[in-house]
Amino acid sequence: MPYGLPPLPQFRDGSFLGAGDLNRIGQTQSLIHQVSDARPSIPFEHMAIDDPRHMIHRHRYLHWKTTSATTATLNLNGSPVDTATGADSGVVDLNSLGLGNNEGYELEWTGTAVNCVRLYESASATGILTLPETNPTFTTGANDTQLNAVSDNTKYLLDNAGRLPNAGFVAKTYSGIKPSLDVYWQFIHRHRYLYWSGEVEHNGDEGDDSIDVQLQVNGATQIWEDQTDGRASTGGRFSFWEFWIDLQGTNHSEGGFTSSGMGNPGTITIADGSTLGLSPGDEYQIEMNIDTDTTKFHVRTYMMGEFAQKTF
Amino acid sequence: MAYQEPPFFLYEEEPDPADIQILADNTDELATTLANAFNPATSPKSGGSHPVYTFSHQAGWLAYQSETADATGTIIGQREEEQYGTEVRLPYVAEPDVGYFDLSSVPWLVQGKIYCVVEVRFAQEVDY
Repeated sequence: MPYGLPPLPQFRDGSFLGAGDLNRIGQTQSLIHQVSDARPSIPFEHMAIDDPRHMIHRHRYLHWKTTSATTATLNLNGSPVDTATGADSGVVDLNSLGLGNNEGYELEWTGTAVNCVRLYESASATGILTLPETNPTFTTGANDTQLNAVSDNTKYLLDNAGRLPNAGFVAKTYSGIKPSLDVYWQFIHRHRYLYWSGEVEHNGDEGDDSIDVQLQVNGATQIWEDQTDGRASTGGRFSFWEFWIDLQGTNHSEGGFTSSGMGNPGTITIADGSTLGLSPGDEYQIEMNIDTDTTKFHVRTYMMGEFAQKTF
Repeated sequence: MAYQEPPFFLYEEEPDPADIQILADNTDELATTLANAFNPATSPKSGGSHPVYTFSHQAGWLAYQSETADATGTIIGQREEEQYGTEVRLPYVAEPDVGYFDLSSVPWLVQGKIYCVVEVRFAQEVDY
């Protein structure tokens, strides 16, 4: 049994209805909710041809989506599993491939060109989790059929969606780029707060030109910006930034520091996150634009993800 | 209806139907919430330099594959000044096996702590 929990109960008419059985259902639900709440939503960095990604197998269905492709083939451990033509999407049922729980595998597109914006495993083929039993209504009492429905539904959630892993964000350094670089990530909206941390260092000569780092949502709404006018006579500029953007309102937080007096470590530029109009399950794109007139800098991303709670 | 923390049922008392109803309603709510929860493919190592996996610590085990026998993988703090004295080496695991490292053995790794894993092919936190 996962997490060391005792098995979920089965009820029989005529047997004593034990509080322990009901508490086991409640305990399991608490754990599933805790997992759902605590796991951040980590974005998927857009993927091109010959750009392999890795997965640890947890769920039955592999979802993919492309926004542009001629004809490209999705390969799992080198074997084709699906084909994209143009802007396309699909779901691969992994059950037939004999993958074991936590087995690692590689995914790669081959062909002429592709821009894949979605590649994840889900317990659902459709975006809907269908409980195996109709939920009962309890008014004056409870019979075994009703109680077993609640127990079976809880077991279904634990076995399918409760196996959610805690994914990591791949942090990277971008340097020596002139005049610009764009990096794209795709989110499935699940949590209220968007967290982002990283650093920018301007290590050029006095009077060197500016660096501008921006984050945009769906290529239309700027949500954050760090702009330096170039190196001053007082020295280079290094800043570490981290912030939380409230995607449902105005409860933002900004942290970080700057090593010199040249500006600040970035500024949240969206007043009210609810104006983005995101609902749970919505897909949206985060774009990081780096515009610079110098190659003497680096930008390093540390972490990005949606979280249920802020930690500062 | 929002998720409610399940009630605690007492052994000597007849369960209240309203409390059992909370358990039933929670399954609907959790099914809705978890329909949007996914296991994403890792990000690439191309497109930038010095790639490392960054986590907000939540689960009990780190599932990983080693990069090479010489580069066996290391757990470190997030930022450079946090990294001194925090290094934890991961045992080598030959491809295609997945290794499991007990994260509770890392004393500085508290829940929610952001940390990095370097020189692994891929890594993910799992509960089991």
